[in-house]
Amino acid sequence: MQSDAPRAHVPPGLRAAAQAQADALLREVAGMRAVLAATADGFELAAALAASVDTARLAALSSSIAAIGEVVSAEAGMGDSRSVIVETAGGLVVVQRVPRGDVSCVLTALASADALLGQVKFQLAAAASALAKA
Amino acid sequence: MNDHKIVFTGTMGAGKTTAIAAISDTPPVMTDVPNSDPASGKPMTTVGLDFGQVQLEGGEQVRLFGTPGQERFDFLWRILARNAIGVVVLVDNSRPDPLADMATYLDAFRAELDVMACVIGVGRTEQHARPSIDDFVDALSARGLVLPVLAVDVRRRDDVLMLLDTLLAQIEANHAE
Repeated sequence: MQSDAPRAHVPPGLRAAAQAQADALLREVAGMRAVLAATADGFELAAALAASVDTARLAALSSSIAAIGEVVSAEAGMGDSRSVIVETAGGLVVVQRVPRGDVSCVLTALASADALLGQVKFQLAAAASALAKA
Repeated sequence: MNDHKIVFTGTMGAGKTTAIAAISDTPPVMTDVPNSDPASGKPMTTVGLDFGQVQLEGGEQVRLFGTPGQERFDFLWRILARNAIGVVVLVDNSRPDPLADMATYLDAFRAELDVMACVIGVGRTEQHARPSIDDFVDALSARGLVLPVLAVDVRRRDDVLMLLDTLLAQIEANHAE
C-alpha cells in the first residue's frame, strides 16, 4: 500500500490480528486469490494477496456491499446480514461482516472459479468470528 | 413525466442523509456506519446509499438517492446517478474550501451534467458567510455553467423541498425549449 493512504483510527492490535487471519486464509483455502480486512466505513486494515488488487478501492467497495446487504436484510425482515456472495465468471467474491463491539469490520475474499463456495464461506466465517474476539 | 429520480451528493457532513430524511414520506433507507476517518469528527457516515421517497404537491413522485461523500466511494456516485433526471450538490460552507468541494462533484458528474439538471445547495452560511452565493455563481460561470445556487438548512423540510422545486423547474424549462 502507498504510505500516504489514509489510515483509520482502530484499536491497537486489530491490524495485526486482521493480517494474521488474512494470511492464514490465503495460505489454507484452495483457490483463494486475495483476502482483505477493512473497517465498516471502507478503510483498509490488512490484506494478503496472490493477485493484483487495488486494496484501497476494494476496501471501500467491500464496506458498501456489506452495508447494502444489511439494509436489504433489514428491509426483508430477515435479521442481521452475515455475508454477501458475488458469483462471477472468474470465481467468487464473499464479503463477510465481522461483528466487533468497538470497530465494525468486514473481511472480503476473492477466490478463483475452482474454489469451493462452501469451503470459502466456512473458513471466512471462522476467521471473522476469531477476528470479532481478537 | 411524473416519477423522478434525483440524486443528492456533496462532501461528507454536507447533509445528504439529513436532507433525504427531512422530506421522505417513508422512513428512509440509510447505510450509516461508525466513522473511523481520523480527519473527521463526524460519528456516523454513509457508505452505501440513502433512499427516500416524496410526493410533491403537484402529484409528482420523487425517488431520492443519496451518495456517500468521500471520494473513495466514487464508484457509487456513477451507479446512483444512472437514470436520474437531476442532481443536488450540497456544499458545507464551514469547510476550508467550499468552492473546491463544489468543483470536485461538478468534475465527477461532468458527463451527467450534459443531460441532468443540477442545483447547488450551500449549507451553514449563517455562521460562514464566505464564500458568498455570488462567489459560487461566479465559479460556476467560470466553468461555463449557469446553475441555481441556494443557501439552505437541510434540516428544514421547506428548504429541501425548495431545492427539489428548483431542480424540477429547470427540467421543465429545458423541455419547453
